[in-house]
Amino acid sequence: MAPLRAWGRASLVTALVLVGACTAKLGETDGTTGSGGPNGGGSHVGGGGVVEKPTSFSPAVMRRLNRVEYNNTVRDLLGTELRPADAFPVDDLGGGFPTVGSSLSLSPAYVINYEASAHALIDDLFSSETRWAQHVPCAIDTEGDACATSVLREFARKAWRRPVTDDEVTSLLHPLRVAEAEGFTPTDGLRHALAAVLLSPYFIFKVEVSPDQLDGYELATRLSYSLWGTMPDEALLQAAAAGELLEDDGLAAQVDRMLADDRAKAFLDNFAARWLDYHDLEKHEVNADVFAEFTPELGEAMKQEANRFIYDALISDAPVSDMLTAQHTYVNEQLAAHYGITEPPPAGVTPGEFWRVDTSAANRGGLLTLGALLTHTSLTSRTSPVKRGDFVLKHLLCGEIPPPPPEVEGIPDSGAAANETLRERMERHSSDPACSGCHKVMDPIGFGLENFDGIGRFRTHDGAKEVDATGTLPDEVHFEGALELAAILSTDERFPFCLTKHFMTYSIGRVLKGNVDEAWAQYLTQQAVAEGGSLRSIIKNVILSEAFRRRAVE
Amino acid sequence: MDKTRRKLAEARLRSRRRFLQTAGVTITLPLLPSLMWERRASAQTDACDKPKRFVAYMFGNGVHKAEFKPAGSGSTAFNVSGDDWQLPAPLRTWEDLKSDIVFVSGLENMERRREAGDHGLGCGALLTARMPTREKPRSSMSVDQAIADKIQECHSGVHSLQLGTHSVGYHDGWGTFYTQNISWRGEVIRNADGTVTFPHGDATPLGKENDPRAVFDRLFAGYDPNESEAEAARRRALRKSVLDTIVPHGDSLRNRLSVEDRAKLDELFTGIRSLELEIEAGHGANCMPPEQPRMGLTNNDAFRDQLNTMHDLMVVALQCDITRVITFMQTDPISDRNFSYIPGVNGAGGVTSDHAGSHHSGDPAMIEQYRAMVNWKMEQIGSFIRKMKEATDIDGGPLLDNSLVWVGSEIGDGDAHDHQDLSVITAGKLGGLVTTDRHVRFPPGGWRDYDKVKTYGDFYLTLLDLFGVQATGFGDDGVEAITWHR
Repeated sequence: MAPLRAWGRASLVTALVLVGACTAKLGETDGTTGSGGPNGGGSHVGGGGVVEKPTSFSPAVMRRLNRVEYNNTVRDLLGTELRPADAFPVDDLGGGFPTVGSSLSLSPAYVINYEASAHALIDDLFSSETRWAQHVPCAIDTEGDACATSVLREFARKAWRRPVTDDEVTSLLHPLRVAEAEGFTPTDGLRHALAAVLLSPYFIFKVEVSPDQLDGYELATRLSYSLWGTMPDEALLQAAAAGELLEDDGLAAQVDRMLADDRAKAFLDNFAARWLDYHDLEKHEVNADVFAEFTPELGEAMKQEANRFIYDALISDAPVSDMLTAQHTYVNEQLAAHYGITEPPPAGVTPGEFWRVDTSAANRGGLLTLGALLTHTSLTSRTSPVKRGDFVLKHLLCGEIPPPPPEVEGIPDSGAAANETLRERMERHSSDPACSGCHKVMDPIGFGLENFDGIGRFRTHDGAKEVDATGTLPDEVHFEGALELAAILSTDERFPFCLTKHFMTYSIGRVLKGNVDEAWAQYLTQQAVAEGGSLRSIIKNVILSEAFRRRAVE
Repeated sequence: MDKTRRKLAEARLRSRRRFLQTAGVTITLPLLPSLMWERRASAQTDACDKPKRFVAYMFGNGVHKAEFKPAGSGSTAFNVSGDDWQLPAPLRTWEDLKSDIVFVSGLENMERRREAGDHGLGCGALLTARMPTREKPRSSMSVDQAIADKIQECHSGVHSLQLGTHSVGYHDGWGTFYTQNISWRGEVIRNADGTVTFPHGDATPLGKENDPRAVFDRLFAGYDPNESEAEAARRRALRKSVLDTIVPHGDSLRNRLSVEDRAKLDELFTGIRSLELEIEAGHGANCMPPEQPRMGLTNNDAFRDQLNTMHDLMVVALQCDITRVITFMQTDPISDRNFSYIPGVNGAGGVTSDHAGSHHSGDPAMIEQYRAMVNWKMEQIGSFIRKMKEATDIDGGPLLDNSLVWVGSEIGDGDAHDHQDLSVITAGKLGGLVTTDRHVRFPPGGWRDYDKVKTYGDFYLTLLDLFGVQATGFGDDGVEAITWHR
């Protein structure tokens, strides 16, 4: 297998570390990364050579279902249209993802919501004779405990994602006893017992108790939530029961099956939208006097665009860097108008539907010019080259830029020349020694994206003056515009490496730290790149690794 | 058939969510004080001498500190009242509230421990006086939770509410658990002499509720004035059977988990116990639910409507005695909400949003804009305190008189990002324990003279004492109670 090319942009690392007041960390990881951002860079980056397979790693903390996972799970378990978790308090992030155990707290407010939700879900199930009969195929009021026992055993097996013990089934009969004593019907009792299944820690948490290697069911759960954001289906549970998931071939076959399944689209909202930070785009606020065109609907359309664009990468064998250099995107009528794409939609496209367009004529490219990314890295009334530069470094290259000191966004108007562009004002601003260190790193990258306004439209002018979209990367590589920047980044080995790290954090559920995790990420990236470097190969290498399949190795 | 049953179920999920979705009017609360307390008397007796309420009201992104101090705030300590102090300019709309407040200035919180990420640091320490930890939620019991625990010894009902207006993950390098929450639960040690200790360790941030409709549900769902007590008891027994069912699951699982996993499991069962208490208390029975609020989120200044509605719900929750402790985040720190609709927000520096506007870099036009933003926030907070003052309590007096509302931000000066010479405002007399209409100044001391500096931790020791909690210390630096309340 070919060694990973020598992490050739090492000079960039050096440049970043040496930049004045800015202690940007691209070359170290010490576990102190804030939980909102990606994990630190690789200490071995720049070292070159083949990376050996690491031999140890630390355990993750038990995870509860997050809001998205909860909604998806009850949808698949009960066939409900209710989305109870929308009302739960927001999940905190770890390493940028709401799947990290140590960051997913469970305050009393969640428990109040869990209980209300459990009752509402069972009431909803009861409200549909068809669905109720699927779960309760016997006559509870005449057959009593015999019916309840079989119903609860099967329901708990699905809900808890594993076979249940006799003791556990017996414990679930308690509400039927109370119902009896208080003069309620057996049906009332059973409804409360079913609700108890949904309030149990075995449902709320992705329980893992195997001491080292995950058992088949634990692995099925990890796999299912990583790729589908929901509970395992019957095929996966059967594979777990048959021991197939413990074998490389069996596990790989399931990954292929699951990625090919439509449910893999959940991966986009769960992983991609967090990796690239566009998850809450519809809540992005703008100053309507400046950006009247931006509405929550447009934000939603931009999210759809990004999801569809990244889905292509998920089902393709092309290297992930192709996302950067792509010459296409997806638009609906609203987004096409927004981007100034005049080419009419192909025949048969219905209103609101998305279609694929070639972007070369519209001065747009791939990932970097997605409306979602350009908008969420802007302020309410203008672009923010700082945020855009920071985004490229942190989210695409996994560099760590320290949080801003005071006086970042405000650009004094005093001394402003008439008709000054934002770039000109900011260049004056970053001559302030207190800020200049980081700004010298971040701003020149963001400047290169100035051809796109605060809501992602291509522009040639900022106010009356022409945009200067020349930019500079920290290692003094110069470029002009988004397309050239994308071409440069597409050759940077840190891009696939950074994607691997994000996927590891998300799927294993813990903030990566220390040299051991770095080594795993490097080793797995190397394996994936040797196989062509597609998104699928990254996912598969992580999932097939011990880092994913074992709980801890000392 | 299916359709009808489904409708019933949906109605239950959104049970009393009777908010109209149409744009426009904010809520009015047609409360009937006589009805309010009628049921309560028959339901349970209240062991507290007199109800005391606590609200912590946090606003984001600091103030323009040069102006946010009453005249005469220098380097010496003083405690003045009445005509001897005047409201600072940003509180110009508070003249009618001056007699209800104490302005406390010169305090410090974490300045000496500063690291990059001032908003997250200050927000994490806001009610805990604990320095955040980068990797995971570590802290100790926040002051509101310590107060709520004490109150629950004599008042059954909702332990406390954590409310806000959004949670969109703003952060500055610290975890979102420090920027989306201000209430924390941690370990409590009850000492033999009656004092309590709040050790530092893994702690649970209490996620907040942002949707006024969900808050309304929480307060009034399940309340049926026509149900008999016997019927209600039967219903409660069956509901509690669900909680009892899962207890053995926890017991069996606990033995097979690591220490850290066990802590997560315990969070679930802490919540289960607290829910049990709420079910027993049967809250919502103390007053007639107010008419459903209407709210529209379509206007440019929908944020103001959301604030108004939340303010009304907080007042009604306290007035109906459903809970006695609330924390409220007007925005999350670093919030960059659009503020272009506020008069005086002029687009200086090319920005019109909250956080971006707070960094004025000394530019006069940007300071003017930031001033307008801070004034607007103060106007909203003033309107909440006014509602507390206008609401009638059980004793016939203003609700505010039996309450203490704490107002503060996660940082001091919005532009300079500091944590020293901070100002907090308290409103309310707490049943006579607090003497209002005063400015109490502690000498800010400066960066190298921390021995003389008084901290939020010190302030909270006094606050806890006012609620009957004798703590052995508070946070990283709360060592002695200080006099700000009289």
